[in-house]
Amino acid sequence: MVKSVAQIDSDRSIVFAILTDFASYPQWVPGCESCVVKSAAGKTSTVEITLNSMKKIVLGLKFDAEADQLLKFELVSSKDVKAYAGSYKLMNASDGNGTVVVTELELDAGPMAPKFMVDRMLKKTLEETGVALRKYSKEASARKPASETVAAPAAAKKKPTRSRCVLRITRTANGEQIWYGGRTFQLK
Amino acid sequence: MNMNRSGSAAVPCEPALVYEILSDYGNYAQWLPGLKTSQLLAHESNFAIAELEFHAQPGQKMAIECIHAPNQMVVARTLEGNEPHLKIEWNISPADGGRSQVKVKVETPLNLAFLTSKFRSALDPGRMLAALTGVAAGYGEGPAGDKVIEIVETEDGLICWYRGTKYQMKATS
Repeated sequence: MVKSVAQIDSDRSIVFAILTDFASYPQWVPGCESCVVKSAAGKTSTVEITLNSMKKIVLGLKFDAEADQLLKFELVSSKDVKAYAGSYKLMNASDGNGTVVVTELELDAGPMAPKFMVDRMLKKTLEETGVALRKYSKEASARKPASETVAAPAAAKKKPTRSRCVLRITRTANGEQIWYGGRTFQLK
Repeated sequence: MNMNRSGSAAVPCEPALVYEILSDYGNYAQWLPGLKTSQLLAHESNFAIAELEFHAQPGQKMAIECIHAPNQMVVARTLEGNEPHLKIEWNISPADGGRSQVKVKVETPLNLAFLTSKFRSALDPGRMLAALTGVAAGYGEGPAGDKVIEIVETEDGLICWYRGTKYQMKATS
């Protein structure tokens, strides 16, 4: 299993729409040659996707979606790999600027491909996919009419719930004591 | 192969405050040894994603996932499949006199490159606990004596007490 994080400067709804627009995957997913939707019912879709990076592989995947939150996928058929599964988890960025996507991916390519090599390749793939998603969602946001764009909530600066000392100088019986940055200095 | 180190200390404040400090991932760089920057990326109920930059690897941001149980536990670890593998687990329990007993368990790689890097000293449980105790002291009254000057961050901004007089500080840049 390899995980990756990507910060996307677009609304969660836009990112989710891109991730669930399977037919458009060849437009932005690195190495995706084709993606054909085989069935779609409610929250579940099955697709046949052809990826060509180091080696050409064809995967039958089942996607399960929870609107604007989570998209899980698992392998239903493939002659090329033994296992392929993962998810996209969508979260609001804490700075109020877009979406944070946490991607998980697991691939078992069989005994001929050592796990450490596969994981290294997956990490690179996830990073490239994050960059591509960032670029594609920016273009999608630009295409969307301004009236349909939901402004992201302004980044609220977190106010301290408790009073916290930043600097304190106290004259004690043993001389001046300075407290700063979690450390105490004694002057004599 | 991983190496586990742990430590325990009594921190002079209640568990709720310890938890508040430990789950404030965006402010880790202000007190956790060896950290250059820290940024909270996303936060949802008991799960958060943050990004840390260590002095040991300047310029390289490390994404971590964090899980927390209020007033009891905070776990921060690098995302699976990413290097170096780090896991910091804090356990908090109430102790006598309004204090907290805090245990920290640090899991790091066991290899020569890591052991000779600055990560090793930064992620020393003893140093981390001392830093936590130090930062917790910032929420207390401080030592007995005459307070010459005290600057406090409050809900209303920065307040300065100077020789018994209170001043409201105003940002000018």
